[in-house]
Amino acid sequence: MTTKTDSINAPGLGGEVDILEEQLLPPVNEFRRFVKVFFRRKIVLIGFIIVVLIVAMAIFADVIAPFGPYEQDLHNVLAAPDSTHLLGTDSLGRDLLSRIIYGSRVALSVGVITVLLSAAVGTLIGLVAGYAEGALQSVIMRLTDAMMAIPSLILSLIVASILNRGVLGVVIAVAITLFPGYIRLINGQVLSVKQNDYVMAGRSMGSHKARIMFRHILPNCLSPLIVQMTMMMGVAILSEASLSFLGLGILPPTAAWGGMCYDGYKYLMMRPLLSIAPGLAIMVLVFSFNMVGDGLRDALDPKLRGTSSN
Amino acid sequence: MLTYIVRRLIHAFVVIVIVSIAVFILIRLLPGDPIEMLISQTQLTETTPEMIEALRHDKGLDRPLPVQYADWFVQMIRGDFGTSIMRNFDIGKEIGNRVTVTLMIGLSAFVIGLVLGPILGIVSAVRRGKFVDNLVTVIANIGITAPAFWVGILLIFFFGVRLKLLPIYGYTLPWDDFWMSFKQSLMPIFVTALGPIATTARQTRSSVLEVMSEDYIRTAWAKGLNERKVILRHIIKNSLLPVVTLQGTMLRMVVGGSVVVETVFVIPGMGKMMVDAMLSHDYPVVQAVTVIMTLVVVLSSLIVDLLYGWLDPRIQYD
Amino acid sequence: MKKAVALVLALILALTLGACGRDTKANTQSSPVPGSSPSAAGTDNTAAPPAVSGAPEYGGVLRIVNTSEGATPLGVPWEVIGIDVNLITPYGEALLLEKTSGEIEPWLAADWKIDTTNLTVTFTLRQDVKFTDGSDFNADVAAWNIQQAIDAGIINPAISGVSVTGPYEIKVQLDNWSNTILSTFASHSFSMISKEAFEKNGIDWARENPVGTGPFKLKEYVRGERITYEKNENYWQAGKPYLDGVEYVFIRDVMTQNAAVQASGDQGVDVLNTNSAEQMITLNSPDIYLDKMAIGPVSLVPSSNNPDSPLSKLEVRQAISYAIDRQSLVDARGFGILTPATQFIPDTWGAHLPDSYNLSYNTEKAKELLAQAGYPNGFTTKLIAMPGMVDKDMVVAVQSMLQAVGINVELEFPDSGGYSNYRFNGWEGMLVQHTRSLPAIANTFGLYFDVKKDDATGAYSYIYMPSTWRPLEELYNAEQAAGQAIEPDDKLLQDVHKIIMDNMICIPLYNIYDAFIIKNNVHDTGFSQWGAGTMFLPADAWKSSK
Repeated sequence: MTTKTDSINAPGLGGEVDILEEQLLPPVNEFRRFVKVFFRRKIVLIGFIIVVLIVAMAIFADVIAPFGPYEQDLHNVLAAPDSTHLLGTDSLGRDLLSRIIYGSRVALSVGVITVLLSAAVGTLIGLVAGYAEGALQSVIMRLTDAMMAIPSLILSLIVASILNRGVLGVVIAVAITLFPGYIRLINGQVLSVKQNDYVMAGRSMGSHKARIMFRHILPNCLSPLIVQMTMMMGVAILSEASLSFLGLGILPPTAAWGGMCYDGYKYLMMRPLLSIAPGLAIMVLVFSFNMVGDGLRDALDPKLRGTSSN
Repeated sequence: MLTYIVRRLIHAFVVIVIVSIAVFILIRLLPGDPIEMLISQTQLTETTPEMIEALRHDKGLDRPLPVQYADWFVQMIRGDFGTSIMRNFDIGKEIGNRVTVTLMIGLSAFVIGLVLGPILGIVSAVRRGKFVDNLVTVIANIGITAPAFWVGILLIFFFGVRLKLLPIYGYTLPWDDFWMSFKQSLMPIFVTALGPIATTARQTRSSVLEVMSEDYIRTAWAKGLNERKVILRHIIKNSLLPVVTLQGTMLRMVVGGSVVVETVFVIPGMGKMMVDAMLSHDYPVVQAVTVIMTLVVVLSSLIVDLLYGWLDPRIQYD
Repeated sequence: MKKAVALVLALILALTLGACGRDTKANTQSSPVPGSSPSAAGTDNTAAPPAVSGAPEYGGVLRIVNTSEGATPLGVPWEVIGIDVNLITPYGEALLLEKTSGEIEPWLAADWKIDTTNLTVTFTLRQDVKFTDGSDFNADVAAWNIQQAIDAGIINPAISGVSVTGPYEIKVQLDNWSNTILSTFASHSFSMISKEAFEKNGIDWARENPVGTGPFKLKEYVRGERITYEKNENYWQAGKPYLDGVEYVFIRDVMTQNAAVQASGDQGVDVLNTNSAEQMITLNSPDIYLDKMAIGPVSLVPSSNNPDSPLSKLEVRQAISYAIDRQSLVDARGFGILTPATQFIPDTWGAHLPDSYNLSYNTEKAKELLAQAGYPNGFTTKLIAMPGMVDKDMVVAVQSMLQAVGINVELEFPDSGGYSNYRFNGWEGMLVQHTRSLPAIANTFGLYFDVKKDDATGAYSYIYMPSTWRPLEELYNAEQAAGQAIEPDDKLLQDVHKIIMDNMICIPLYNIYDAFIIKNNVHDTGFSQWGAGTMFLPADAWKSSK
């Protein structure tokens, strides 16, 4: 198995599953079993396909979209859907369909970067806390408790207004609410894994602490970590949308689904599609990620295996 | 037991202190000065630097930060949340009014989630694979995946604007006008409750399924007790444990969600107060609202933990 | 599973289709097709409701949507800041009234005398006015009120003191002459409150319990929700007010405001104040009329604190102006209401310049000027939009127009805190700012460009202008001359305007309007007739029964 850091640095949009499959490759039977369990539920398969399609849509947006996302036509604003503009145009005469297609880029990159960032930070701190024990651990865990006690949207709201509102600013604002969750997860895992024989053995043989952490403990935390990351993808995308709705999301003119919902809200009586369509896009994407997450959990977590199947 | 509660309260206090410091620092990192903003609200008169300094002194913002913090925190413990910089109102009194509104909606939504979620989850688990199960699964997934503000917008569009069945903004307390309050609350409560219902239903379903596969349940089944009794006595009690732990998170979700829901439906609660204060950099208001919201979350998670112990006697409070 | 998915999908689909189906219908009904309907807007532009015969009727409550949060304690006028000031209108009255045109009319002061040699203004007060607590309005009380405002530091800094010169006469002393000084006394920030009630109960009580001379008195104040005023039966104008009450409802969300205007009964409202052309058109219906007044343009304000920036070059600022197709902006986002702004001061005011000064659209010229200035390939700059007043889409459209001539633009949409920080302390790039034209136009110039000459940090003008960057020297002198003339003089004001246009200190984009959307059965409010300080005359307003 490769180490955690590899999967964190892995480029690409929504490639979690592929990375995972690679990682699980060596024992062939194990991999087959994984695929079989993963795709056993039809809904997971559907979710997986949708995720792949949306990733493809994001990558090939330039080819698929009939218009550019910023192409304005000030003499054809708020047009009703017709054969040229399948979903109509927005308040600056931009093609709604094209903007939704390009919007997938923002949604996916916000989702992926947020999740990777929060997982990386959270895992590192969690490992340190779990292994350090004593005073350091309880200080870290108390701080984590405090962070988790602030309602996440409130925290995002404050951080988002401090940072500038590019993709990175929004990513940090959302990631800051997610990483304490990883600290708790990893800390718990470390505590239980640490009792295992081979870790004990490593310790008695005088292995370096950091080495034990990265070589033995981290790989064992991988499964719950991956499941958590996939689940958080949807949460991150939803949080970005909520921030946009409160006027603190990614800046215009960037095509972002949450912001489009917010902008279209004004025209609800006249052009309901302007806010309904991007909202639907958010829902479909988040739904698909959650389904994939469910499937991964079934396939990776032996304890829960088989309980939530249909 | 008592020592446990005391220890948890101390723990809660520590959390509040950390949160209050964090918010105090964060809010001061915002670009822009509330005093300048206050001054610039009026487009009608000219401003001199002396006026600005006088105002800054008046609002106590010219003191060193640690002094400001200590003063604020000590006052807050005494129950005095200070005065809004922007609007001069007594924050404690204002929160008093607004917390009622937020809790009326939040608690109703929370209770609905707490009741409806497990029922849907249990029904769906027992009727596993049947139509009801699938319907619940799909609805639960939509509840989790649809952005709350978007659901709110859709509801406003159909029930308010098109069908004109429900009022689309504002809030009336039930003891002022019950019928109006009821109509105004329907949509916000539904939107707020959607997440908790969906999450709780999903969690209940999978933990019921897990418990049902345990040996002792099969044994009880085999003993010939009738089905309903088995489900009620064993399954429910045992499968509710993970659901109860989940409620802390649910409350955090409901309280945080008030920001969005109150903005969509224009409800004068804490969430809306928070957004307005954020946008105008009203330091003491943002601080106070965040601390109160955190307090609600911390105390409720304490209650949840105690409930957990009551449900599962194996847990020891040492 | 399939069945369930199908059911839910079908439901969503049905709802969405329902939305689209009705969508076309809604569109034909109200035909808010932007850009194409100046005539449609023209029909409801009438500044008067449908003609009503007969005398005003009594009764009814006037419900007004207010966009502020309305959280300031109302009772102490000199503490009420910003937009909340207009909430005082029903209970509080000032010494004077100010018309939109800048004309001053008597109110609690029946007459006034100006002495420009000794720099004093003497007010003769009405003798028949009582506060709602029964106490008398006289020179002592008036002087006390003005002194409070001076002490609070919110009054025009030119005013240095006030003295009582007779039982119903007060004299205000000035430091230097300003021909717009009277408009200060027309603002509701200087409404008169009962000194007796204030001194008896203390300031905390007074904040919550307004005691004024106005046609209405406070009945109930629900923070963040509404303020209800009820009739003052002993009002000093016999037979008035006509209304039983005035109620402000606080609604900040545009959608909700729209719904409230369209609703009837409990949730219905009578008056909505907005600057959004979009909203004016959305709400266009036979049941309402639009009372609107010009309030100046939205302009680009290039930063002036960096002598090396491209924006410091006049050619660049001119190029920017040429790159902007104002007509298309207005066609797309003006909804037949907004107009292209070709000058800093719109033609409603005497300071407006001849047509030869009008700005025009010419991308070739823009590119040429950029090349001349040494930026043939353009440069990168930033647009910072004023929150609230500036349409976000307009800014995005301007961005793409500048991009077309090679100027690469980043956008920033700060909240009001971030924005005021820029305005006070300087910024890079250009502000997209509503440069308001006040009724007395000399005040506008003073507000935006009055930086104290020899002091770099200076008094705070509304927009930060460092004293190192000056065509301002010239501007400052012209502005002082215009403000200190005995009477406002259009010729002097035009001189100031010329300097602004010649130097492109501000680049106007489009003119916006302050509009009051009013139900047809509401009469004689005169919202567009009175300046921002006076707002309207609640005593004269009335509602017809149908």
